[in-house]
Amino acid sequence: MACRAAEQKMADLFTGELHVRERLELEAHADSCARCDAALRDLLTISVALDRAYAPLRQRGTLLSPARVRLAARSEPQNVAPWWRIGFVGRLSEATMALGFAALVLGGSLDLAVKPDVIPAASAPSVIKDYMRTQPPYEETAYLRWLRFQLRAIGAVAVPAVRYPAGGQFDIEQRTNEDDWLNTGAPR
Amino acid sequence: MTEQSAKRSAPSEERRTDRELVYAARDGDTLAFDALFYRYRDGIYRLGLAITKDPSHAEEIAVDTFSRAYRALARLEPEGSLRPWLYRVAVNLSYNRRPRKGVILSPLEDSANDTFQSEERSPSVLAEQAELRRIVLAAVDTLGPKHRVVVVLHYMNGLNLAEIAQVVDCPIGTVKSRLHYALRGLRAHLSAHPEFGIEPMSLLAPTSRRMVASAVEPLPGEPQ
Repeated sequence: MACRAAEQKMADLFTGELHVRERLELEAHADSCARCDAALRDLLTISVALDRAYAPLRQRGTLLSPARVRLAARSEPQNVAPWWRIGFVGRLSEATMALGFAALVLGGSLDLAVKPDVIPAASAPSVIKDYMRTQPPYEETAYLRWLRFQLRAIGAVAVPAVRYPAGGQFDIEQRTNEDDWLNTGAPR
Repeated sequence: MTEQSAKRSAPSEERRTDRELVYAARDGDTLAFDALFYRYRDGIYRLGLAITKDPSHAEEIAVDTFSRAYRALARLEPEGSLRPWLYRVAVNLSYNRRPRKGVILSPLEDSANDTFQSEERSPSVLAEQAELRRIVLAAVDTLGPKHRVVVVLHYMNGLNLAEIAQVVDCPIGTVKSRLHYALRGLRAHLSAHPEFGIEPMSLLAPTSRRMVASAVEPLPGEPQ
């Protein structure tokens, strides 16, 4: 028997589960091996010491009664649902929470709504931009700038110089109703 | 109903198996559950006491273990003994329970009990044995939980390897290995104490040869 096998047999010896023939083999090996002999002697010492150390404990008992067990079993808290999940209040709170969540999703607050798969390309013409570009601004200075850019865009040869208003009025001549009282639009 | 009257009124309960008692208790037979309780009460109490070293904790562990069994009666299906299941619950409860500060199980308390039981031993011998017990139990406390449980279940509760394997839910080979390494760890720890090193056999046990020889039965056909 090798030393390793002998060590494995020692635990069986202490638990009383070693076969008679194996016990004899272990003893024979311990006779020829000083290291295993010392190990066997020490482990036997420890085994007996453990047995004696727990001996007083083995004689101790308790006077517990089964009634105390039943009392403990009945008094232990069961898995009780919280108040917000009981009865009408529970149903109402669950329905309210469901409605609120649905409103948030549909309103897009949580950004959970389904997004369109097709994203318009950046080069696609924008009808709104074109419309805004063709509309002259209402403010006078901006209108003159807009007019100037429009003339350049259509390739006008001579862009009239624009003189910005001074003193709150344009320095171009304003027609009055007396000049064109027939409202013909003809130049003077 | 007191303990004695319960035991007297149901002598047949002691002969019934755990499985029969569980089924009877499930059907509302309170005496059956009481029989189960008295059958394993002390063992579970000692197991909790050996791990926690606190008698009040050990009682609480016993009560908690049986209250769990009481509430789990409808689901319990013991194939043989209910002990592995109960001991496993008790071991888990023992290790989940935090130790109270300042409460230790004194080996002197045990030696005082020995004093009343045996008047032949002198106080010095009892004190020496108490000191040896204290050293051994302190060495056991240095082991890891897995190794300590195996030691306690074998040396205190007297379970064999197969029963320990059922309690800790692992193969027998693993239990054997844990016990072997636990003993080796104890050997390393106790080698620092001269009480166990030079002449431990004279204090605690006969020589190894005589121990082995006394444990060996003669082979069939072998001369006596």
